[in-house]
Amino acid sequence: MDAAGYTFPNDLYFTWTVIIAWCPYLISLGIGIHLVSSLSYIFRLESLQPVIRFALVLSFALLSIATFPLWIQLHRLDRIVNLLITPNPNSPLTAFVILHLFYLLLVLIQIWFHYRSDAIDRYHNRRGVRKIWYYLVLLGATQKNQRTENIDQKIRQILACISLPLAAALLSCLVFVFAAIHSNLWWNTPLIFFILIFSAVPAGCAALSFGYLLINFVRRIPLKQNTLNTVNRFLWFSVIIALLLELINFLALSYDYTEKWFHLKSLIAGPLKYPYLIFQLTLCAAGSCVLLTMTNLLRLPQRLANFLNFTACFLILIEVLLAWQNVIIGGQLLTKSLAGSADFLPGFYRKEVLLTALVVCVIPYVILWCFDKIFPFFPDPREIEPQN
Amino acid sequence: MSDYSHVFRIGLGVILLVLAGWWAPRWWRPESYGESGPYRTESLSENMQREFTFQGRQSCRPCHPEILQTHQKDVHVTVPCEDCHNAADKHNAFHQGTAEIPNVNQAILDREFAQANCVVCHLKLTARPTSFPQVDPDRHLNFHHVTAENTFCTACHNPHEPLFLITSFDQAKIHPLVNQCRDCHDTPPEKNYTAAPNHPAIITCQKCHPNLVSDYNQRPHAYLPCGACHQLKQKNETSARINRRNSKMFCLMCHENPDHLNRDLVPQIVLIEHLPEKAQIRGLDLENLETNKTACLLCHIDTIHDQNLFKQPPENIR
Amino acid sequence: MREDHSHLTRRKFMRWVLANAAGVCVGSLSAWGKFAEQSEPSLPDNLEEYDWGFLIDISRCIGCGRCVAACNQENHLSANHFRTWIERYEIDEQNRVYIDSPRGAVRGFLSNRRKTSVKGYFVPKQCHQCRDSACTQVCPVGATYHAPDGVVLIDQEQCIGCGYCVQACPYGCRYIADPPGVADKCDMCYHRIHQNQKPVCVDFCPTHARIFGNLKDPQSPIRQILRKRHYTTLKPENKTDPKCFYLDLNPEVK
Repeated sequence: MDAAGYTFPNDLYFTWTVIIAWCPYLISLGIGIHLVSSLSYIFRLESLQPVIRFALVLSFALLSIATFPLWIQLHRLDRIVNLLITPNPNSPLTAFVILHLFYLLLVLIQIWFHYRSDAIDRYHNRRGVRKIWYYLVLLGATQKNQRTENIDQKIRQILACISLPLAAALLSCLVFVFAAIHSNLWWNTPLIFFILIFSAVPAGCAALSFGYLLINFVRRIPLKQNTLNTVNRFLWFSVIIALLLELINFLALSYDYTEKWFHLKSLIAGPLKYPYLIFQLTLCAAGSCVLLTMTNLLRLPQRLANFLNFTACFLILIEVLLAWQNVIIGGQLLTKSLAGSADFLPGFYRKEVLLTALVVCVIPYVILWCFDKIFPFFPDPREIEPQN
Repeated sequence: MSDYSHVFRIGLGVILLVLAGWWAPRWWRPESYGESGPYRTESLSENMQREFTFQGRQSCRPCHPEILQTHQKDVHVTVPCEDCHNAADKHNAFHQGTAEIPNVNQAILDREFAQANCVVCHLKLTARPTSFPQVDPDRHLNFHHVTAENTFCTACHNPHEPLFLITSFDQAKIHPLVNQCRDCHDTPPEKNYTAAPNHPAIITCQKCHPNLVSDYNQRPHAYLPCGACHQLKQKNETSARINRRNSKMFCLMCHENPDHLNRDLVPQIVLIEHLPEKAQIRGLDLENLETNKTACLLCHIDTIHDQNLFKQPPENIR
Repeated sequence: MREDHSHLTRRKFMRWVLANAAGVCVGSLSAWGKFAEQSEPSLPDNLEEYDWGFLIDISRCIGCGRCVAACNQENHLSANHFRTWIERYEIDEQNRVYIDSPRGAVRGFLSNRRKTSVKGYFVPKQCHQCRDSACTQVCPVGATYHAPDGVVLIDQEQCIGCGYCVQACPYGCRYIADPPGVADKCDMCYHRIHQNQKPVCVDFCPTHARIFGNLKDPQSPIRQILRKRHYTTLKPENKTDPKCFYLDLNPEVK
């Protein structure tokens, strides 16, 4: 890594590189997707019912491997149990790990309550090992009636309400891992906390919409346009808010006009010009905003609108990934000596690289595919009537 | 089976999982964890009990007392032995027989006489404080008329005693500035030193201060060498800044009851009688004479040399 | 007679049992006691009487780099990471500042940076042993901590090498040492200061630019200097309360 100016001798090699940014990215996606399903219960949005199962399973798939990038970049993976054996209660990372486990448990329980009735049907129709398997999954409660269905519905609502503050806490801990470090000027800007939290919502909506469109396109199943429109409307609002927060952050910094602004200005105009200003803000965030405004305000033909939404979702997914990469790597580009900035080129042969990140990314979709084989999240419309 | 049984079962499962997650790690926790905070107290003693590499100067004393004594009397006292000679752990262990050193060469300390070892501290740099002695090696050698190539700093400077503050001239290595042939030669040499190959440069005061020296030779103190009153102190690369010992006590070392001199040769006074007498004769303030550290020079400065001549720049400096 | 005999036998038996039981209890207690003694680490009792601090006099530092070389050798460091290093600041007529630190100054500085510099100085840096350090707060496994005598230490057996402390430190004094894959930093030669020796960087400094001492002792040289001279710390705005004080420091040093 070349240093233009002066870097502290210990800062020449970055501690956190490409792979670690995938952990918060996948967590944001997972939480955002899960948030959509929770919101459908809290605000009683019937139009989102068809995608709730898909949302839950996708968010579980993403959240279950979201911390893998974090473990991969540890230098002493053999001591990973120390996180639970000797935790330091003051550390945001410890809080994040523990909250993440709780959240995963919550999502799993929600999935259990959603798929319980299907599992009971299968339990009664199967024999042998599969019957035992479903018995274990159901924890032995293999009877259902109208009353249990009502109880399940109430519990699903309660769980959705609990998940909202837990999601906020988890995302806050994750953002605190970065925002709590005062020594890094890029991580210590006034609104970074809110920017990163509110970027999870468009990330989730975009992932859900993207996944829904992709799967139904591949399987050639007709879409529930109502569902898609609701998700896209959420997406549009949240993208506007996220973009506004980024711009307000700039405004606050430049109005403050302290030394911090001058260092950050040289960072943004220098190494972060292309990744942040041009790709993330202009192309992806503003571009997707324009596309979504067009599809939501103008009356476009359905296929064109879906295609534009698809493109916008893709851009948002890229944008949130870039946001986290720019936060983590940008913060290290602005060296602690405040006397210059470093260059960074992701390597291709160590564990903290793009290739590993891409491999890690494939895993949730493998999980998703396996889950779908056992418990399909989109019932085939040819077999079962779509339920509202 | 009640309608809530599945809720109870999953709730119980969650509670058991949480409790297990709370208690199980505590069972695996290291013993000393948590005694004084969220860390293993045992690691305090682990951190304390690492082996030394550098042994310290006092470990050199049992075998090298004279070198240590010389070293501690001169300006390199702040430079530890192991800075130039490398770490003494294997060396001490070998010679004390406390450890098996497979390769005896590991027991021999580095003795780095290369110029690079001196220059790392004494190279003239803009960022170095001007009070620290620093040289440009080429200029320094040139100034001292050293023509032989690859001359090390140690040709003139003993690393253990670089400034010869205590050792007199005839026992030290060649003094860089002021000496006479007889400081080293018992009998006067036949040839001029410039005819002898690799002879260290000899620069007398007269070479650079001819007017001053000829003026001095006409005054009462002429039989004393310049170094009797002027103490060399290296302040810049030319090594030419010379301090004057001009205090009353210094004059009295010879002029009031000296043990080391023949009193008949040198005029003697008794200060407590001399000052009031002269104050009365010359109309000077007695209290001022008694408190002034350089009171002798108020009246006797003409016995040394013309003070104005030394302010002229030295001649013959390249 | 038989009943008396059995009564005596029973009493004897009870006494025998109780005596043995008492013996076993006493014996096991002392055995446990010994076991407890053996398992406790042997620490000096008076650690709380010390609060080790550092003082660096910029006007005396000549940038020879002997402290860096000595630290590297004493602590067996690899070539890429530095527990301490020296920065050179050169300033020219237009007040432009040029900073460099060639390999941490482990071999000193071999030439001037620029011919046009009019002012310059050297700044040694190392861990500031902050009282309210960011690194101890963020470590997820409690591998870095404050010792009772004020030194921030690393437990090399607990560290998982996540690098969070490296990011949190404002002074850039921490790094991940690979091969062991754990965090590392200056520990004030903790193994030396408890054997009445100074840290090697203080020992090797030829101009007494580095001063080390107990901040809790009012008569220690470091406290006396802090009373008489004007001193500063680096990056006070981070509120980490560092214990490394600088004399004659210029504002361009960060």
